[in-house]
Amino acid sequence: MGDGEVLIRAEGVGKKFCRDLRKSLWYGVCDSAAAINPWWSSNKTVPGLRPGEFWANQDIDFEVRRGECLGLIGPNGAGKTTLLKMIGVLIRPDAGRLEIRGSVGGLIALEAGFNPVLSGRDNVMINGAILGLSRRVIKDRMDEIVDFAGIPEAIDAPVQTYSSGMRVRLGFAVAVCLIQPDVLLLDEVLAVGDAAFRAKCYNAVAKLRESTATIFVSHNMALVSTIASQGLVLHRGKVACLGSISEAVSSYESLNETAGDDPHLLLHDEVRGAKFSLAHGAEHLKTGLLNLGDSLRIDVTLDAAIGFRCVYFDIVFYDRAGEVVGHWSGPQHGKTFSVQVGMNSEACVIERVNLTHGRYALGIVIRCQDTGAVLAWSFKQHQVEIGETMPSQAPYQMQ
Amino acid sequence: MNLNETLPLTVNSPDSDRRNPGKLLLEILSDLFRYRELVWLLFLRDLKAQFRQSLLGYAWLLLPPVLTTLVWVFLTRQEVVSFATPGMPYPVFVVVGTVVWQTFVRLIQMPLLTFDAGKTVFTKLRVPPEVFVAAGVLRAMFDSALYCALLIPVMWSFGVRPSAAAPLFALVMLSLVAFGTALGLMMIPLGSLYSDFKHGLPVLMGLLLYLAPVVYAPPAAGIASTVMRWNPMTPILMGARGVLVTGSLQHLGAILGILIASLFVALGCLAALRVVMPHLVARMGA
Repeated sequence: MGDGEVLIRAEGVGKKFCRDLRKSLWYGVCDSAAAINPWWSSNKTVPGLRPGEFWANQDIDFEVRRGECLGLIGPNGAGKTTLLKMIGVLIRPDAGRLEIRGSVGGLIALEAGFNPVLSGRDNVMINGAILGLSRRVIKDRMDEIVDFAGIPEAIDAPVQTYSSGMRVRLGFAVAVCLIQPDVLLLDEVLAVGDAAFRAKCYNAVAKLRESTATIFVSHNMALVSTIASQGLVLHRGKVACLGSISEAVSSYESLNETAGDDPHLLLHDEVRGAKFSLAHGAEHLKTGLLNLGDSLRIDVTLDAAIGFRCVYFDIVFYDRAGEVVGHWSGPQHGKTFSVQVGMNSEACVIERVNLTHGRYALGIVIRCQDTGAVLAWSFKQHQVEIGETMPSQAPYQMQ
Repeated sequence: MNLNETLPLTVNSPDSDRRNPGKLLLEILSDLFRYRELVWLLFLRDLKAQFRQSLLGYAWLLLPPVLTTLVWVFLTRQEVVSFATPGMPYPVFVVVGTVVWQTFVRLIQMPLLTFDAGKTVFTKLRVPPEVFVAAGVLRAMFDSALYCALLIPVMWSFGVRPSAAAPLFALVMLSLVAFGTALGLMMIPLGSLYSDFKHGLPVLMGLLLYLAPVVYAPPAAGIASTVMRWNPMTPILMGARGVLVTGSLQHLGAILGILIASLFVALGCLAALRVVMPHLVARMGA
C-alpha cells in the first residue's frame, strides 16, 4: 500500500487557540483584519503566543497515501479535531503547511442541520445539496439512503417526530451514500446507533476507505487497531508517537497510565480508617491475576466512629485508557450490610469477572444507601489482571 | 504518478489568505452558480419551515408594514400629529414608506441571520458561506414582493393612479436591495463573533426609522433636515414615492449612484468574507 500517491502532507503544522472567550473573539477580529489588509506584512508565521493563548497543535508532520488509514488518537482536548479542521481547510494553521490533493469529505452526521418541521425527505435533499450534489443525483439515490438509515416508514414524517437515533442514522446515511472523496475524515463516527447499524457503517466505511487516504479519530482502541494501518498520537497538541498502529496504541495507553489520576483513598468524616484487599476464593490475591469468569472477593476492614445502616459496595473497573468497562453494585444483588461503631469486617464477592484479557484498575466505593454518603472510596489502589483466554462476547456483564 | 497531476492541490498555510481579489470574486461567483440549487432549496426550506407551526401562516409577513401604516394613519386622523405630504394622501405616503423601510430592515438582517443559521454546517463542512447568505437575500426579496403587493389596494382605495414613471419603481427597489445587502454583508464578520449586532440591530432600526422620511416628509431646515439630506435612504424613499405617485424623477441620479456604489461595496464584502472565513470558523465554535 505504501506506493500510493501522497494525498495529505503536513509539515510543521501548528495552531494557536485561546480558552478565554472574550480574548479569543478579539484575536479573531485581529486575525481577520490582518487577513484582509493587503499592507499587513506576511511574515506573521510563528509569532509568539498572545496572552492567554496556547498551541492546540504544534510541529505536526505526517503523510497519508491513497489506500492508507491513519488512526489519530489522543486524550480529549489533545487537538485531534483541530487538526482535522485544518485538513478539511475549514481553519488556517498558524504555522507550517498542509497539502491536500483532491477532494476532502468528512463522514459527519449532519443531523444538526436538519430542520425539525420538515420531512426526512426534504432534509435529505438539502443535506445532499450541501454535500455538493445535484437534485437529480440525490433523488436517484434516495431509496438507497432511506434503506441505509432503515427508516422507510418515517421518511415522509417531520424530523421532529424522529427519535434521536433515527435522526443520527439518517444524517449519517446521507453522507455515507453520497460522498466519494479522495481524502476521508472520520471523527468518532462509528460510535452512532445500535450494533446492527454500526456494523453497516463499518462496512460502508471499509468500502470508502479502499480508494481514499483516511484519517480516523476514535477513542476505541480495538476499532482503531483494526481499521488503521498507522497511528498518530497527539498529546497536548504535540505528536507523542507516529508509527505503526500497534506502536501508537501502546504509546497512547502508557500515556494514559502516567497522565491518569493518581490512586487515592477518600474517607468519610466519621470513618477513621479503611483497608481493602482482594481475594480469589480462599486465597489472597497478591498479584491480582485472574482468569476470565473467575470470582473475585473484596475484603474491607472499616473503623467507624458512628454506625451506618444499609451500606453497600459499589465497584467499578477501569481499563488502561481510564474508561469504565465494568460495574458491580451491592443492591443489584441484594447485598447490603450495617456498619457498627468500631472495627468492622465485610466482604463482597463478584461471582464472575467477565472482562477480556488485560489489566484493570478498581474503584471501590462503600456507600450508605439511605443518605448516599460515601464512607470510603478507594480509587485505582487495586488492580486485577485477567489472563489470556478466549475473548468473551459479552465482556461488560458482571454477575 | 500521472493521477497526481490531475488532482487539484489545496494548500492550507498561514499565507493562504493572500489571494488576488479578482480571482477570489470569480471563485465566489462560480461557487454560487455551482450551488444554485442549494440556494433555492435553502430559500424554500426556510419559507416552508417558518410558518408550518403557525395558524396565521404567511399573514405574519404582512403584519409589520400593515400595523405600522395603521398606527400612523390613526395618529394623523386623530390629529395627534400632522404631517404635510405634498402630492399624495398621507396613507399612501406612509404605506410606500413602510414598504420600502421594511424591505430595508429585512435586507440588513437576513445576511447575518442566515449566516448564523448556517454555522452548524460550515463549521463542519467546507461549503461556500455565500450560499446561505444568498438564500437569505432571496428571502428578503420575496418578503419585499409581498409588501409591495400591499401598495395596490391602498393606492386604489385612495384613488391614486400610478404615474407614468411607475415601472422605474423596479429600479428603485433594485437599488434598495443592493444597498441593504451591502450593509448586511458588512456586518457578517463582526456580527458572527459578537452577538451585540443581532441584539442591537432591531433597536437601532427602530430609531433610524425616525431619521429617514418614512412616516413624514423631510423638514426644510434644521438638524433633522441635514441628517435626512445625507441619509442614503432619503433618495430611495422619496424616489419610490416620486416614481409611483407624482412621477417626479428628481432622485433618480442619487438612486443610480447608490446602486453602483452598493454593488462595489457588496462585492468587496463578499471577497473579504471569503478571506476571513477560516478565522471566523476558528473562533465561532460549532
